[in-house]
Amino acid sequence: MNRTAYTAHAPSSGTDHTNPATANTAPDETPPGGEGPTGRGSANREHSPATVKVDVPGANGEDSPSTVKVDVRGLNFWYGDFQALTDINLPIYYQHVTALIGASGCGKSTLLRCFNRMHDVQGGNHYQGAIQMQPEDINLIGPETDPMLVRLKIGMVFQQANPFPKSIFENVAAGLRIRGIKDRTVLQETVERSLQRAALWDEVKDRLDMPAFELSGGQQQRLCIARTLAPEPELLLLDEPTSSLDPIATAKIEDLITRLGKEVTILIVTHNMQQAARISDYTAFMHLGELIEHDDTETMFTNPHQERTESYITGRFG
Amino acid sequence: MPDRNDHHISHRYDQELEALRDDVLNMGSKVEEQIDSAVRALTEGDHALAEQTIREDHRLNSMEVEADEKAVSLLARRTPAARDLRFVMTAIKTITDLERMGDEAEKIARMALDLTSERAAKRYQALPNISEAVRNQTRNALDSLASMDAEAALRVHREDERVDEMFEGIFRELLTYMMEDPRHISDSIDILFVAKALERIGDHSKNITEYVIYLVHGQDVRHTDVNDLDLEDRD
Repeated sequence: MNRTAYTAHAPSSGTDHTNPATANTAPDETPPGGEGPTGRGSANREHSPATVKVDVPGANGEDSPSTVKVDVRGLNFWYGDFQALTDINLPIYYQHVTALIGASGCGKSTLLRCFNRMHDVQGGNHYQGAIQMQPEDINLIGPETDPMLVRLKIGMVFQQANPFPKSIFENVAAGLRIRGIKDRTVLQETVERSLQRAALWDEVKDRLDMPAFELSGGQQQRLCIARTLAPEPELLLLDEPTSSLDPIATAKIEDLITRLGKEVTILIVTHNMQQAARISDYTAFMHLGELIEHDDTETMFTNPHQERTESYITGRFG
Repeated sequence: MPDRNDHHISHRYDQELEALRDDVLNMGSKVEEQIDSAVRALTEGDHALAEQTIREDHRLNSMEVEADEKAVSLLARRTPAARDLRFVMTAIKTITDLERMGDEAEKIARMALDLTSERAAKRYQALPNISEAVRNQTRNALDSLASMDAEAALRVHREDERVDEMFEGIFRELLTYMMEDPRHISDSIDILFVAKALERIGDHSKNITEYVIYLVHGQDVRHTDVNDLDLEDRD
């Protein structure tokens, strides 16, 4: 396996860090519409450092549920001199929910943020290894890969809902407008479909012009999910999306994640182990910057193989 | 498992698991006691002991209810995972088997009240063997649970075949006896019921050993051929 090492550079253009998934975009980039099964990304493949053959979506012209959408290979990451991630190898399966669990400071959020190059905004951060996304076989952290391109393909939702100071409609349409879509019909259809997918449509359909801040916390979070879904991301990153919500709003979001997990590839960081147990198909346990164990969620919560995983998920000292 | 050399961050959680474990093991001791009493009442023709054994069965029933409540409370309040979850599942299942073993012991004690004629007594001869084998099997199964020893559980599991063979032997013998003289049918059927009750106790002990293997290795060995079993240790 080839590994590339380089220092991350801060993006030169102005960026809005509140939502890199939809905000950090270039107007002339790929229009929404999701991943095509074939015929894309051949240029990227030429520069790909990947030599390891994995079962990937698109490799045989179609995506199938058992395939790897994103493959993390030998990933190391440093905040300046501090190594936060050590030799992470993790497959993220296509159209499944993968949960990252671990104690505070174990590196799970750091790992999540590698996927859409959020660490690039701080000089001195340093990646090594590869995060290969299929079917184009792009190395998301490769020096040859434009972070803007990465963020066009990957959506992210944060712990605190962060709607733009705009109407509900304009929040969801933001990602499309920034991609240069002006057709009112397309915008309306996409906004409605995205709100429906985020299970918010019925609650807001009569007041789409209302400022987003007038929604409740749980609704704002679902609005952020709708906004992220609108440009059809290939990968959805969720960083503690329910930790500031009450149990009912949490249950709605969890239900939504379970449903979306069948059509979008989702990677979620959560402090709540039971949440990981409830909503994910695969669970990865991290400890002190290392990936200790990765398996299907059922196995992880009934019969993990590593003692440290067992200690953590049963609430014992590690 | 509560007896491992590590603890939950919540000490109260440790105590709750420990309390459930104690309940299950106490119930196991009580069941062993009941089986011993029932078999002794039968072979020694001790009516008083038989009656006491029958009266004592209700204690097992209330122990079952109490242990079940603890298990439900643990599931509801602690949402146990991994080996804690397997332990609670093992406890719930073991409790059910123990209660049924108690019922079988009660059945034997009731037979002891009826089966005291001299003629029947002659036919008990085959029973001490199977009752000794079943009592050993039960004790070893409960020991394997107490020490969470999957290898010991597997050995006990394999012993069950011997008990089954003993029952078959008694059955064939009694069949011949009944065919020789139809007047023996009534007594023989009673003895057959006792032998069957003992054989059932053996089956329940076997179930418990399967739970122990599940508890330790996370591998469900029910309805599989244990001779093919390859128990692997975790890393």
